[in-house]
Amino acid sequence: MVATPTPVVLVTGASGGVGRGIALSCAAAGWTVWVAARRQSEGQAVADEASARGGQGHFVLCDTVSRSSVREAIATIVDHSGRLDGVVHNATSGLSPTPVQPVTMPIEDLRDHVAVSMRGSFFVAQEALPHLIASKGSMVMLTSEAGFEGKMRLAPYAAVKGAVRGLTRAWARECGHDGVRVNAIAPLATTPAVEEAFAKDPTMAERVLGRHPLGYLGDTVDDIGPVVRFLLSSDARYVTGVTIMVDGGNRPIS
Amino acid sequence: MTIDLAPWFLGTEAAGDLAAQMGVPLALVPTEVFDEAWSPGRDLEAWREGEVNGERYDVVVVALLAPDLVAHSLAELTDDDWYAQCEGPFAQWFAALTVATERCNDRGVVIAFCDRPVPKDSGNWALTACVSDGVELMVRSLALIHEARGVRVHFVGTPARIEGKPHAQTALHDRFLMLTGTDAASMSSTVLYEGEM
Repeated sequence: MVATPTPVVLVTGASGGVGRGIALSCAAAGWTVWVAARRQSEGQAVADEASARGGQGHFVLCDTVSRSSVREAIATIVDHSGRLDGVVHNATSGLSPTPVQPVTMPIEDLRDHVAVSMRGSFFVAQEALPHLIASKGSMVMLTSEAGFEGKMRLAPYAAVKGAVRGLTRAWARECGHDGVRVNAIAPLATTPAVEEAFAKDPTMAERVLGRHPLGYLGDTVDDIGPVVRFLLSSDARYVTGVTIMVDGGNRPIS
Repeated sequence: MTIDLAPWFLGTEAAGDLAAQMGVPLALVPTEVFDEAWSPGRDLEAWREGEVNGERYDVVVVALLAPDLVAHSLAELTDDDWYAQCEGPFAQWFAALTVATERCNDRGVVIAFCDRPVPKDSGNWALTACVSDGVELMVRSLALIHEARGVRVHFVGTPARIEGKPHAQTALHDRFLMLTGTDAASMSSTVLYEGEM
């Protein structure tokens, strides 16, 4: 991304969890942050928090499974802020932390996973692309450790997160010619979804933290957000097509 | 342990030649074109429910090769392309692999053969890359799920059809022999990429 005084970025699914952390981290650097979410009250609250942290926080209604909703949200941003420098597709299905048996899982549930993670990536990337070409901006997709190793109880979640890595790699090669970078992160952080997953599967906390090098789950604002901010910034201008594990070393990859 | 190497072969029409090379009939997986509403989803679910409790096999191959491999730039990709070539195949793979692993005998082998672009050439092949990376992770999860039964699940990604290379089927058949051989008896969740990494 070309260095600008106040980059303008969009974060989907930013009304809570990792998306909120990313939004607040970007705002703390003085950026203009558009908090995109389906729930206005929660999204507006995060936008207000972003403004309180030194950035310009705005809420925009956005349902990433809907082409028209994504298009309207990005049009609103560009109309208001004059440009778009970065997009972060963080939204994920509400079913993500729900353990399933693939053989009995309703196909409609799989559709929900696919729509939010994969289709949402497509809609956000395609609608943002002309604006990112203009700004030489970048995209960051959210994947997961599950998208590397699979999960016994979260197979559909792991599959869509793997699929997002494929999109990231392909779009990075393709969009690089237009000066647009595409990267991903695989975070491990304390979020409502993780807390829900731990509650539904009491063995999970021990399995995750028992062998964790740093012994704690990341903070969305202080541990996860800064890495995304780096990827969106000009400091990462020579970084594209990668997935960075932001998990405190939980999954060693060299 | 000796296993019957004649696989149950779940695939698409495009995998017919590979099934023929292996000398086994092709069991077709429903591949109706998907739309935003996933209209064929109920039929796919019904297929899964109808197939999941049938005869079991020592070896199951799943090869949902695309009928037409078409490159699309992100800028020009249509929603119809997306549903037909990404979401639909993703759902079909999920259903087929679920059935395949359930119908695999204890200590048997499931192998997924999937079109996969070489990463350095994956520009404009996002749909194929998306599906293949998703399938790879389905394989990894199903390998964990069925590990206790000794069922081994493997993934082979190949760019051969994308690149129009000859002898693609021979290479896949070689991978089949490798992964079902006794040397691979303790391996599961193996991911093999044909071509460059």
